[in-house]
Amino acid sequence: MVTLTIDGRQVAVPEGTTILEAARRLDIRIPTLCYHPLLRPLGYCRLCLVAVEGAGKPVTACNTPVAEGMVVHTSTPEIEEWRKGIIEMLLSQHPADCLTCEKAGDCDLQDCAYQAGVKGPAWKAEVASLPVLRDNPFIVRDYNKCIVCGRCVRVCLEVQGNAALELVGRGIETKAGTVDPAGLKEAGCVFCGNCLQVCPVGALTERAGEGRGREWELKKVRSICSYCGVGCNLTLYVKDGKVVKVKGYENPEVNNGWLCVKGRFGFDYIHSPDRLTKPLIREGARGSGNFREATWEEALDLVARELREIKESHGPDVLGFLCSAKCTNEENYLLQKLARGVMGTNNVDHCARL
Amino acid sequence: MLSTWRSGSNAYKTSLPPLGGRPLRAFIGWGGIILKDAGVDLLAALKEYYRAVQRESCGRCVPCRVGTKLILQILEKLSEGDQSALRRQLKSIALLVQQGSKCELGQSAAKPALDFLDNFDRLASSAPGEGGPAEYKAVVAAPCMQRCPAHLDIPRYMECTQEVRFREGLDVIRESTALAGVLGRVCVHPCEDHCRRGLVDEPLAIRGIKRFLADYELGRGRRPRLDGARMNGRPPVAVIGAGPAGLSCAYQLARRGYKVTVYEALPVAGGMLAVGIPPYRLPRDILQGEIEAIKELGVDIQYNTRVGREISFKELLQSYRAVFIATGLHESARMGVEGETAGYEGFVPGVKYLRNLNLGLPVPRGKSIAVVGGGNVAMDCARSSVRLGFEEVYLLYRRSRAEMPANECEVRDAEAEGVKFYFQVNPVRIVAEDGKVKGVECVRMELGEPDASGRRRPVPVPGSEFFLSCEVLVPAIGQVADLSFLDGMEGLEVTKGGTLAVDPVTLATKVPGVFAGGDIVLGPRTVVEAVAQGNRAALSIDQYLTSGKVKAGPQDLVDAWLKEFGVFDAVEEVGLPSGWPRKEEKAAPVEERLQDFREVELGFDFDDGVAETARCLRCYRVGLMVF
Ligand SMILES: Cc1cc2nc3c(=O)[nH]c(=O)nc-3n(C[C@H](O)[C@H](O)[C@H](O)COP(=O)(O)OP(=O)(O)OC[C@H]3O[C@@H](n4cnc5c(N)ncnc54)[C@H](O)[C@@H]3O)c2cc1C
Ligand code: SF4
Ligand code: SF4
Ligand code: SF4
Ligand code: SF4
Repeated sequence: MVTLTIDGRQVAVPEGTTILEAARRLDIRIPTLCYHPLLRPLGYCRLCLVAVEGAGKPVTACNTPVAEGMVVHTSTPEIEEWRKGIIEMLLSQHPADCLTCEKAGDCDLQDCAYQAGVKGPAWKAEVASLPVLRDNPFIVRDYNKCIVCGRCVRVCLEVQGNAALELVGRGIETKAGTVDPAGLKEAGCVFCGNCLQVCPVGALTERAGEGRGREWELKKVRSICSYCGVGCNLTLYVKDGKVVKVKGYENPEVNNGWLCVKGRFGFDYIHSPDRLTKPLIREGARGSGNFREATWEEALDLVARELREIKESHGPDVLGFLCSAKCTNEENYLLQKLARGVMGTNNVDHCARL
Repeated sequence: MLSTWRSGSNAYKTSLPPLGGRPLRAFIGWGGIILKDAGVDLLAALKEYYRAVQRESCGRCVPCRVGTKLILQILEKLSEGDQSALRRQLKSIALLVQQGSKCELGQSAAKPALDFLDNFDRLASSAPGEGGPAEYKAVVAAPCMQRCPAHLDIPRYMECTQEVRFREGLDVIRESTALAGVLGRVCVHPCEDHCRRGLVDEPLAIRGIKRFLADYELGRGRRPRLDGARMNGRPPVAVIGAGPAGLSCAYQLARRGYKVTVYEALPVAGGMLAVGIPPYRLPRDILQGEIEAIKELGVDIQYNTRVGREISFKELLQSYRAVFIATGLHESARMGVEGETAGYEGFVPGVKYLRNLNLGLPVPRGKSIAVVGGGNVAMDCARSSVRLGFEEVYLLYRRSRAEMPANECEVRDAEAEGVKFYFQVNPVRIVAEDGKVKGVECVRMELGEPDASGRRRPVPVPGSEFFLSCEVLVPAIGQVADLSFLDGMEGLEVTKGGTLAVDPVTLATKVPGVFAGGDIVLGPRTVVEAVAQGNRAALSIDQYLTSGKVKAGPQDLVDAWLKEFGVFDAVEEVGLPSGWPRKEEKAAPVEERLQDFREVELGFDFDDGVAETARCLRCYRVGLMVF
């Protein structure tokens, strides 16, 4: 254990703990932008600068490990001045369109500026304006808003293991971008959208959600993804009874907030007019496309009757049962019981095995 | 003359060396401003400086990415007309850049602007443009990188490792050397002596990270892969000797599209890497894998072909338009004691001992062995002997432990492995019976009067002779060259030390088209210096074959300038809190490692390797020369 003093309070933490983590134990809040608890800290944004006694220069709390006897001050007048300066610098490069930004209300930059009391930049940095990229159906990329926190790059590399993104350019022109300038697809992106989930600003946003509701209008509904058996936790963003976008819900037991392309972007079926909501029974010849609506009772009776007939005329082994990972363990158990115990066949399989 | 540049708290730096003979009118950089000519338009030069900083800024942190751009914009405003409000804003932005930037590039880049403001009255009065319009040259330097003889881009491969871009990190290393896995193990890492983190707590494990990257590639089942142009019809070049110098020259020439043939006397390539350094420090599959990658670029190695025996030097000169001599030092220096030339069984010079061991040729065996010498070669002989099963391994050295030229860790490992040290002891006579070594007569040494050079040389203590019994005696007190293959070659000059004389920058000998480098030029030195000279020779040969002339290039001039000016400041106050210890590489426990010649050091695992690089201060500094 290493003992140190933060803002006059002592704390003992395991070796290798960062100053930021140690401060959080004491409920001391240090502002951050590039830091993300699930990604490796790299100290890009410099908002978490703190003063360490005896050192001539401030250090970043997010990636400096504690040392025995360290005395840290997280909020001196000088440091607060610097933090303001950093936010002003970010704003000097940032488009001033918070009014219509998709991220407004959920933007870390807005929050930081608000908390630090920064009204706007004293200077506007001369920087070329970039086209907004819509090279795919899922993610809109407006790198004019990118604050170069590197979170998207890290999540793609560290979580998705994909390395489709990198920081490109030098100096004031530096932005996040794709390893292949042609676009996300060309860079090998699998459209998990996890980059979008961690982007603190409006640089990466959901295409489906564009213009369909502001942060404060959207109702957040916790749910579980129904595509596979992992059971990723989701938050559905709902307006007027319609799902507008989906984000991962940070459940450390399951998916830590990360999702795949289906769970995040494949929700249009929910409100699809083609969706079946009642059982249908075919009328006429196979392939004729004629169905009539039925009740569940009638439909299940029909299935049971037909199954029994097939079994009686051809034997049970012409039947096969395929179950779904979207069902619970108990439901899967029951289905194999039905196959083996009732129908008398061992032809049971499961989609998760395919 | 005006200077704001200080080293630590010392006096202002005023000397401004010329660049390749061309005088500088001013220099703006990480330490401030040195103004020699008051006619320099300082505001214009400062703007140029911050343009250079913006070009180098990696853009990761806000103060440098945005702040240095704002500094530039304010300087532009200032040149339209002075306003004190502008100066106040400039000051607060520059201070934030200095205090808040992530790495040394941004932190140090604020200094010129701050110094300009602090000395505004004196500087603003300088008469702009009087000395005519200025010419500028921007330079980027990092202390570790400048200290590395091969100038590896260390901060960049540190950053690549930190950001888990390992492939790119290896590519950065491979710009300068094909031997990442080799240097990552056996380099003497002079860079670490000039690591600024060392001024705070401990230097970065610069060598260890190189190994980490090379090992990671192998660990993922890949083979070392080098990029380079395939042969493109450029004239063929001959290299004599497949040691690190010869291989590096061949590598860099092959990348430029030359067809290179390497003539190697031994059945293996690698020079001292293959037949000197023992496998427990450098496993042979690592070395051979990297040599294979060089061969895949089209380099042809002719094994068992000693120049001077299988083929004459004259023939090479006739068949090739350029030749690089990198034959190293493969003879042992004589101790000058009685019995040395008698051909006793059990007497074998160190270089030969290791060579035979590595080539699977017979070496004398027995229960006890005495190695003479205090350098790394002596340590290698002693530690190899422990592994061969000698029960008693003695090491005789004529000075004290503190003066041993061997690396401290080598000495420590030798001790841990059971080598017995005799300090301040020198052999005087080899004692033999029936033509077999029985032991060695030694004398104790003490420090005598200072000699002409002021160094106190060890002198024998009269009457202190004693007898040390041993069956094998291995002198390892130095290596010398065998230049007999050059017999009859006119024009090639040999130095007093028995090495080849060359131009220190271009490595050209007096014979046009013939270049030399590595130990054969430097004397017994290091792998990385051999690599550096091999690289430089490739550049010279390329110059020679494309233009017929060989001369110092722009980078040579900048390197020489930076060396004279100084990029590392040993008394600098870095200003960071200390107490972030360096990660230690894993090592095999002594009992295990002595079973055979298995590798002793095991490198970093993933977490430690990546974590170590977080300590790097990324000490790139931008400077602007004003002519
Ligand atoms: C035992 C030992 C341990 C060392 N340990 C280290 C260490 O840990 N770290 C470090 O940095 N340095 C170390 N060194 C030094 C380092 O190995 C040398 O500085 C380096 O190998 C020199 O490279 P080179 O290419 O100039 O010559 P060499 O490596 O000596 O290679 C020369 C090659 O030329 C061949 N050759 C010679 N004559 C002819 C000829 N006439 N025709 C054809 N081929 C010829 C030789 O067979 C040899 O293969 C060590 C040296 C020794 C001896
Ligand atoms: S969507 Fe996923 S794979 Fe594509 S860039 Fe973002 S994190 Fe990487
Ligand atoms: S796109 Fe978003 S997450 Fe990526 S670097 Fe820019 S601001 Fe950060
Ligand atoms: S070069 Fe260093 S100081 Fe500049 S942006 Fe990059 S990390 Fe920051
Ligand atoms: S801290 Fe990093 S960049 Fe600086 S000298 Fe050391 S290795 Fe080089």
